[in-house]
Amino acid sequence: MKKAALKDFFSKKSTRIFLLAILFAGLTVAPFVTNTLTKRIISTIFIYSLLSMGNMVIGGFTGMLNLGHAAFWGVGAYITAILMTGYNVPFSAAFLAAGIGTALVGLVVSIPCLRLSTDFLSLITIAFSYIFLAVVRNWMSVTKGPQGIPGISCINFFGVDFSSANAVYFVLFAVAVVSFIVISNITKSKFGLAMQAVRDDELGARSAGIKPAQVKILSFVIGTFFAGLAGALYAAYIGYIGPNTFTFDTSTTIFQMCILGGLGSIPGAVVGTVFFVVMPETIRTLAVYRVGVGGVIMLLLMLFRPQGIMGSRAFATKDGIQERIKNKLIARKVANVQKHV
Amino acid sequence: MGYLLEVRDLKMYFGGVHAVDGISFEVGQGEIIGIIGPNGSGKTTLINAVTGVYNPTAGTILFDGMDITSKKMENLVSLGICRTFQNLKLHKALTVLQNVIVGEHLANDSNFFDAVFRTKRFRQNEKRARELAMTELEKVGLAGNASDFVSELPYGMQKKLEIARALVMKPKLLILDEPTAGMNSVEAKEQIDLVKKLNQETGLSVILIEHNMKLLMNSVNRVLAIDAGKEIARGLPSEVQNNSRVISAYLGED
Repeated sequence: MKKAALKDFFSKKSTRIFLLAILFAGLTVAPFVTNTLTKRIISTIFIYSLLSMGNMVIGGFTGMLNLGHAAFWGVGAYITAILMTGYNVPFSAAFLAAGIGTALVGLVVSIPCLRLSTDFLSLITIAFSYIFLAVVRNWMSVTKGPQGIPGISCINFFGVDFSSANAVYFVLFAVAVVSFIVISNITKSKFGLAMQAVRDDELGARSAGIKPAQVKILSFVIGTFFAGLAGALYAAYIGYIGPNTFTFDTSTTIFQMCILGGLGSIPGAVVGTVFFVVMPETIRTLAVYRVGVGGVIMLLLMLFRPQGIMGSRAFATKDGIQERIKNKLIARKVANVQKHV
Repeated sequence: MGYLLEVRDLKMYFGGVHAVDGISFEVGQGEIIGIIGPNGSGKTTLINAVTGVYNPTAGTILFDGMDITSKKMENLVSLGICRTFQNLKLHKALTVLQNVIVGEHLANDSNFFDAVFRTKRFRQNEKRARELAMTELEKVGLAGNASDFVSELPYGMQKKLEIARALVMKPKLLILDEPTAGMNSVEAKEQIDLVKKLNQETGLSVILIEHNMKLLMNSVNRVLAIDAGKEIARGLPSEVQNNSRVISAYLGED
């Protein structure tokens, strides 16, 4: 009863708008009232949410298990860094080039994916992430190898410099909000519906005139485009990039964000991002065991809420552990009753 | 007189297995054709080859006079051929209404720009899609379940939902692959009556694949009976029903 009332409260449109307004206001005043560390954490969330939302389109909506998203992020970051430090390209142009360039790489990677089912497709994306690292680590003349590229100048849109910490914060905030709206709008349109149709049943989608190949390529291009933008922002925000940021580990973290948040939910991607950025910061004292904590949380999540925090209940499997425990208890009760009869 | 669909000497071989071995049939405008045959006789393979799920080994398929022999399924929708599946091909994580709206994919002319910026055209298209989908759901009697998830629906309702998804595409020819499978006799009767009603009201041509011969007898114009990939009888339902080859295919030979 109470649960239902709570659910009603949260599904009301007015409630949602109210909560969003509070969140928006909070994030607007945050840089003025918090310390540098908090500001940095929130900025990291903005950048990572571009990654997780992009990966959500690919993985959560179209159902392609992309385990190389960090490599696409890296492609965007390296495009930006190389253009800005090597060719003095202004940030605005590098930002756009990173998005489009990464989307092109995503397009190329997605083509072999068309003929493959989920498992093999994720192998391709894993392979891509290692190829990317190998190239970046060894192509000394362009990427400067393992030492990375330092001295990337700050975010600067059309001559307006955003070098102060607060200015950078608001640029990242704005890009994250705009990306959220754009991605949400796409996923709520017929394109998003086509993606989900392909994910749930490819043959059924084809019978409705949907071309699965087009849908898969489209979602890959959208997802990697935003990864490219995130790369550009990251490069200019930190000022230095090196290959060790864009590893397979980072890709799995991005995917974990999507799973924790709930596949098929863009707000879920953001929730997952907040969790996986904030969690390691709050339990810093646990040192290396932090990774383990993340793992345990994922395990518990899969057992008790397989659809993720914001995921649709349609994803919850009927033979989840709760059901199984319930069934076992019922079976035991029945057995007891039979014994006594 | 030209037929809506003409299938000529269609063959579908999988290696040495001749699943469909030279079948010809035609569907006239506004006709309901029944295709019957025992399990494994090649009914579904025949339809899969016709609708471009498989690429036929040999033969020709003409639709409205146009050769559609090796066209893929997704390209047949805009011509007006829609189908349902024997083993449900629904989108399980979507709601009932969304499943039907999936069928509006081609009719919805919003482009990417419209979707991102929520233009007037986008909003109109979305509203229209929802209304049309609801109309179809009402036709099949699922309007009350519009916001349920597919996985929560009983099997019979899921079968109806597939029909609604096909109907929303405004087909000229609807191909139903065992629409009554897994239903009890009352539900099955309702389902066939629904098809009959659609045919009478809109002049929709229908190919009805059915395992249960009796169900078809009062509702279809003509019947094609197949066994082991070959035609064994064709004609009026009453003729086919009493055909000795059909009886022996179903009951086995003495």
